[in-house]
Amino acid sequence: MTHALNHALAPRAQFLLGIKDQAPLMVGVMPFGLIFGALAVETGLTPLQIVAMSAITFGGAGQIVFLQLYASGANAFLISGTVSAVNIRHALYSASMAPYFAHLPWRWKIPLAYLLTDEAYAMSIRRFEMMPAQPARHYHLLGSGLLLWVMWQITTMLGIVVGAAIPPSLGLEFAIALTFMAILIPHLRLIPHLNACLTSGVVAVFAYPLPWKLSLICAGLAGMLVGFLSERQRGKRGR
Amino acid sequence: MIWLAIFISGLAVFLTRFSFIGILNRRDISPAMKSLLGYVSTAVLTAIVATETFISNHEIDMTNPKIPALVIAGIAAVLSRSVVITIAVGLVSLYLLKAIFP
Repeated sequence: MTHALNHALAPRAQFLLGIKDQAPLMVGVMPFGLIFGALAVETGLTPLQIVAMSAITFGGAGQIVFLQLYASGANAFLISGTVSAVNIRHALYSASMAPYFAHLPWRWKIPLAYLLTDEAYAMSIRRFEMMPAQPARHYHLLGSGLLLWVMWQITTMLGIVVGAAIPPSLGLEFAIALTFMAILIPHLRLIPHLNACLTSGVVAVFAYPLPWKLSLICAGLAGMLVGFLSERQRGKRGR
Repeated sequence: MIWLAIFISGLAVFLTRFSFIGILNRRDISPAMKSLLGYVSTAVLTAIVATETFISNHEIDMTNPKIPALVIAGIAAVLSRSVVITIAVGLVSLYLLKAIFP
């Protein structure tokens, strides 16, 4: 899991590492795509609309929310507003990734932003922090994001054709949470990260009743603030 | 109507992801901002894990078998340092726990 690399990897090696890092997450992503495809058919969308949504929006939780609102007869603006609110945490991923991509041209920034899902962010930020001097690091997010994108489109289509072949009761989506936990654990030896984690976990659970999954961004911001303050506090004591 | 919703929501999601990547054009950010952003992954990913593990059917559920499964998988993660092993141990634990305590 932790390969401390000192030499700079070539673009191709970064791209392949991105695919390799993202591969285990497919256990959780594939059933999610099937469920989305099947659910969208039940909701009454045409296959073209379903495929277009997976390709354009490219965000699992937001797409499910879209279906729920559409089924309830909501108008286009209410649907779009709610889907945006559900995905607002992605702005934090964007801020976190921005310094690594600041020097890149638009033709890179646009596709990288488009591919910035929870799963792709999680796997790539870990590599970026682990390997500071990597000029071709954006190829990692490209590889990891593209694998996710391709599998998301394929499983959406399969879901349309064959339905949710994997029953949701299997709980395979839990694989995504398990992966995120595996990524988090090495950080938690640092006290400010541990404080950020505990704060975010508690806020996420107790703020859950908030609408539009706003508990996630509240927990994220609270955790970031506590981590930051805790780091400053320790810095002062050290001096 | 539905096509409008698909395009607007797609654009909104893209703009959310593009926001800071689009604005920031220099690599050097203030040390305070750098420190704060260093907690994005820990804070947001924890929020996702906590929601997935402690909430079931839209309620806090402390008897969710995912809680002990997460703890067991956490031990596996520390020992193995492998994502694949962590997923395998977590899912097998979850199935065993569900089978033993239905």
